[in-house]
Amino acid sequence: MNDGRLGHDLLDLTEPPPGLARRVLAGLPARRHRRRDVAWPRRAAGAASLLLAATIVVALLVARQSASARQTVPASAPAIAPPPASASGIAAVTFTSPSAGWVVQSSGISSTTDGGLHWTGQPGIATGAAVIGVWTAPGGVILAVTQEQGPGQPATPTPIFWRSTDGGAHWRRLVPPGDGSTYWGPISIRDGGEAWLVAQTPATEPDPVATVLHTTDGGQTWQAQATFHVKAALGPHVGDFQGQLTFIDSRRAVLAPGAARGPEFPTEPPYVFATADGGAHWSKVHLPDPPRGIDSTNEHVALYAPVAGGQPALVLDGLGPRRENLIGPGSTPEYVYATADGGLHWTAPHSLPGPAAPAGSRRLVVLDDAHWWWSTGGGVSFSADQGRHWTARAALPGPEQVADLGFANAADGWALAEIGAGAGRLFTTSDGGRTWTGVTPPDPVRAG
Amino acid sequence: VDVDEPAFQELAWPLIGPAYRLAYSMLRDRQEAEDAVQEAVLRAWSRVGQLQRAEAFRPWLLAIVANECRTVMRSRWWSVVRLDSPPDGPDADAADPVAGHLDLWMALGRLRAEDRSALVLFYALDLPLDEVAAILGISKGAAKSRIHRAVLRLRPQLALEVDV
Repeated sequence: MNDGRLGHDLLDLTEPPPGLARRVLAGLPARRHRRRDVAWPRRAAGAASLLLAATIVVALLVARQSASARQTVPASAPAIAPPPASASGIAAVTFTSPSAGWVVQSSGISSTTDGGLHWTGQPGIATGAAVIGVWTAPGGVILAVTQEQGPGQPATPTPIFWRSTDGGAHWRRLVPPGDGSTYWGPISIRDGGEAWLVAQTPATEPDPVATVLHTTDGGQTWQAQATFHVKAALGPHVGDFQGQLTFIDSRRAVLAPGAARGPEFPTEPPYVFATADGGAHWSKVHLPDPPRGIDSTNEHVALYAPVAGGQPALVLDGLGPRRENLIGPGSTPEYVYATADGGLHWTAPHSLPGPAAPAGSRRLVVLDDAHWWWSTGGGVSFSADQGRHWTARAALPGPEQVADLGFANAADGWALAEIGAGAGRLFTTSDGGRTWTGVTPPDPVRAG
Repeated sequence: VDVDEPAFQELAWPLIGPAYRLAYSMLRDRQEAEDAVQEAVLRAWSRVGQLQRAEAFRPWLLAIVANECRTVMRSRWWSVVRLDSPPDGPDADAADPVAGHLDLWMALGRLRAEDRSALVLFYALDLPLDEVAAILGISKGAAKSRIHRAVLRLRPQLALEVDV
């Protein structure tokens, strides 16, 4: 029998609000999506199906290398069989080319050099739910970043940088400077070498002070770049420097101040903070002209960092009157804002293309100012003018939702499609998202 | 499983509460938890045709909820949770029936979300270990050791035996 007292206490702590089931089920769309008549390998689950899928993947990889012209996958016609589902949840993915990639699972990190035909697992880093991502840098450096929180540690998880210089065979664990009372704020990672993060004195102090730390050697050493008084910078109601942060260079950065709720974190029309002096001073910048009928707040702004230089972007969830959580298909429009000056000014909002999809399956990738990709549902669209105009590129095969999307350059990218039970499917592209190839994800890493 | 909307609602209705408990334990934010449950139910509704057996609906739905919570957490990696004064914690509302469990709330905050979810699934929802494992996408043995470790971290004074 399970421990009764602990169970009782947990039941008390997690008591659902009244009327929850009625509210949730009232939000169902009238008709379910039509199920596509696709025979998934997952259903067959036999060795023959897996062998067939692997054969198709190999054939496609070979064909892709020899093809002189790329074939665009129509939005409604899957061109390839989906790869088998991963056996465990994928927490982070990065590919630097169609052949070279890394996958972080709860069991460890795996790498491939042949487009996923073979994976090498390395259990040397502690992973779990707190994986932030994996990045690469010149010289074969790989950086996996996690956050860790144990008994006796301060409230905010400590960022841990795991650095490998031999392709992932060996890892060094690097902890940023700070003591037991350090509150950690947001982090901005450009690549496997350069990153910024914010350390703060305890928020319970009357005048907490934050320090912007900068590394250019993948977390081995950190330099204080700027300090500021949190309440003076962010306003008297915000005790912690938190949210999504992206540094464009060592002086210019944008902060979307997060999703904290409650009376001490009042909401107001959408805004961000911007700095032009490395973080010493922050300006509050309200987004211009929210579309009519939209009643979103600063909670509904998502910040997207440029991968390869250029300016960041903002996406606003367009919520209806009374900020209803209108998340059903077709009910939550989204808008993108661009900037040309590091976030001090933003363009008028541009609508993002549909189809509408749950918030967890919408992704914007900003490679630079001329290469943006937007994924919603299983579709991928492209913009060359910072979101003013969009062109549908392709749809991933199957009815899956894209959980993660990334591009290393204008051609090479990857997509992670979740199938709803902690498992995912991987895809790569080498033509900017016009065609996608299924990649067999690694098995869970087993400790040696 | 091919069900119409009333049948789906009948299946899902008794699981909304457990789904919320799971989501709240992972996200520690009531509004985000409710949003995650709603997202998960929408996903389940759109994919219920992929479910092989109606008997597997509970672990299937709760796995979607857990996955949705992971997605939410991925989008807010660096949000600060202030355990000394949680913005949405049990002391946020004096009438909250959980106000008497502040110590436990704070202790849970020091655990990873995956550990909290395992505790809630096993102890609060009283699910069998194999179902906990299925929901979390791990093996039964891993689920057992995760629960055991989490309890030891949560209450070092407890010598807990996890029955399988």
